[in-house]
Amino acid sequence: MRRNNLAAVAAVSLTALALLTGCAPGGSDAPAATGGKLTDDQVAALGDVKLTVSAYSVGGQKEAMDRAAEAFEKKHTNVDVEVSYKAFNDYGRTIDLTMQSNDAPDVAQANAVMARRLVPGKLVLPLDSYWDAYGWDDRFPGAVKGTLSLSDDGKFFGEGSQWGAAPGGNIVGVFYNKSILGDLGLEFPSNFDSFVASLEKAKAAGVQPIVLGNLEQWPSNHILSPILGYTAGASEVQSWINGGDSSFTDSGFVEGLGVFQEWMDKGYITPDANGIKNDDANAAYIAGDGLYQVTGSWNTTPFADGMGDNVGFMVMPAPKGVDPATTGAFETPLTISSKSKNADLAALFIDFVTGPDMTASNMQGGFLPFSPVDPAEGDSALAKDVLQVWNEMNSTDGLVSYLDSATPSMGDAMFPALQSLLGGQMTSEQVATTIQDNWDKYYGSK
Amino acid sequence: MSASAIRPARKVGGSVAGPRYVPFLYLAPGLALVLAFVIYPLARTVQVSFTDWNGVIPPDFIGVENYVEILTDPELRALFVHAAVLIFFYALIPIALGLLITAVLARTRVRGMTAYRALLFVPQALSMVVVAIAWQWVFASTGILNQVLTLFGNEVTTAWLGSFEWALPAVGLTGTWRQIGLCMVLFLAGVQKIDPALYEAAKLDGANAWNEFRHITLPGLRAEIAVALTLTVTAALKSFDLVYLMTRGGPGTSTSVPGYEIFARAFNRGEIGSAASLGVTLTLLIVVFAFAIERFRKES
Repeated sequence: MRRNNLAAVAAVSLTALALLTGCAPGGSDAPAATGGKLTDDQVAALGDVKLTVSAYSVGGQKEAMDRAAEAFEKKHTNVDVEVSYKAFNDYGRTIDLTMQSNDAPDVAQANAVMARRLVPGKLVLPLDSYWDAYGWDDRFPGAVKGTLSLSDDGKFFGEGSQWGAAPGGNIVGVFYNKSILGDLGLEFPSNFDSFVASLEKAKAAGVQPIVLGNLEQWPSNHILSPILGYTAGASEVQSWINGGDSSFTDSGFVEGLGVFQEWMDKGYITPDANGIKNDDANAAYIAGDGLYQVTGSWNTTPFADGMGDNVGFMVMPAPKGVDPATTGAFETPLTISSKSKNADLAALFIDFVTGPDMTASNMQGGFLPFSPVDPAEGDSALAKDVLQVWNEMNSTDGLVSYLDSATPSMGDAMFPALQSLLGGQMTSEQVATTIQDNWDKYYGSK
Repeated sequence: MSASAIRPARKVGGSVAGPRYVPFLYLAPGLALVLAFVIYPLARTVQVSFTDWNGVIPPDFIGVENYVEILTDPELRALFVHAAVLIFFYALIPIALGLLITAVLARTRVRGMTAYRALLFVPQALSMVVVAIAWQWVFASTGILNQVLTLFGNEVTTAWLGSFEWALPAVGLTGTWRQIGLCMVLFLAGVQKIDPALYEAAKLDGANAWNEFRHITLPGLRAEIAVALTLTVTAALKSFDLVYLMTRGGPGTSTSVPGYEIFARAFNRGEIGSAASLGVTLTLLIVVFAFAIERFRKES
């Protein structure tokens, strides 16, 4: 009797549970995609059709995406583009589930880290046939193109199928305060040695040479990566990121970590940087509290707004005889869901968003365009500088990917270690080992 | 129903309220919710903790490997040490201070008592994000703490949250500030149910303040102390929000705690299996602590 009662309770509870969790088995029909280019007539023949897009863009980039969606709808009046946005932090954590669900969006933004999960999970379509059909190969410079392809197991960039296409990119470089440079009687540093000399001179004059706020842990890696490009070599760094032959424990990498720590020890980098918020450091820099800030082009608008013509942008100067290189990558690449029933249309949309029609709009949104644009079109003196540098780096293939794209968990391993390096808690050898351990765990030790 | 009204005689397994399963039917909706949102996720977490899983491709069953890692990895052990430090700041200091305040207030009539009580409880009522941002400012290199310290002589510009020695105590103190109101409100409520005659008798016997506290207030508050301990120790062990909001576990990993590591593994690194095993371990630890505190309460 008692057992029967319990069974009854269990039955009622389980029924309620099933109702609550709403788990109904569902299959997805394979999309009938041709993998080819759609003509305007073919789009019109689709009748009323909805294209769903998931995005994490904010600010100017969000506005650019909205403009693109609107322009696409205007061009193809039977298509309804529905873009939904989610904050980046949440987006990155839920994109896997979103793409697994039966109502996955047709198009989804995904960065390199997300791609490493989405590609092996077969949640995004290989774009190779669209890549050829639309001629996207000519659209992206070498380094960027490489990182937009990924091996089927999600491990190696530069191999396997193309997984996404991006409306633009960003670049890391050195922002410099022109009047402070002038006050110090400094020439524009033309090579790595004269750059280091300018740090020393600023320090001696009581000016903070490099402003850094590193409480968030990630900002410091943008100072390290350009240094590594010169101590280890740009191609070595890229090879390490792609899972190639280099190791972070190689002498050039350890040397770069040493230079970074030395800059901290000598006071070239803000003391206490580990305890200062990135926003606070940016505000201090805008207020004129320092000569340089080594960060990405995403700060172009706030710096230009706050400092006007008094701020310029350059690549960290290269040692004599070495080609300039810096860190940079695509931003917000678009992928096509493997569950999309409108994959061909999705590809056409991606072509539109990343193509020449939207270049001006994308630039306005803060993207650096891949198709060369006259720097004079920059909307501030600083933006012109940034465009100039961006064009140079793309034409010389001087761009190297972000260090933390080396493995899915590299940021979590590297950023705290760099804080320890700056705080003097770890030596450059220890940091190199910590970083390489993470890499070895992912790629297998060599 | 009508039958039972006429014939209230008990059947086997029945009762005045009807057949025996009826109470269970009343429980079923609540039970279903607990099953769906507590028991099922817990069981799934245990299941996942024996796998290597990135959340997308099918999980690999790897047995107890994740648990072996927790027991052997010195970096993971450091996280539990940090949690222990936080117990000191989240639980021991607030309870000690709460008792002190209570002891003082229990002996004297204070005008505007309600206002003080409300004021001291404010930290509990504030959103964690607000608390974290406010204290980030306090501990900033140009923050209030340094401004106050500078008044005593040399200029202090330490960014406390960037210091490997001070970041964890700084996060801990923020927790102290938050928990103290909770402890105090619990104790003040408890002290009111102690018979005032006891204090009078003690005074007549010539007991001083310490004796009163030691022999009347403290034993009388045993149950409240146990509740405060359970709540604050649990909060310290599962602490995540302050660490995430104030330091992201940094500098280095000097303020990282199991709760933050679980989050980082599951959501930043896609190591769902090892995150789950850490979660299960932390849950067990909290249960053990809660039971220990419960025993302390009963052994009076």
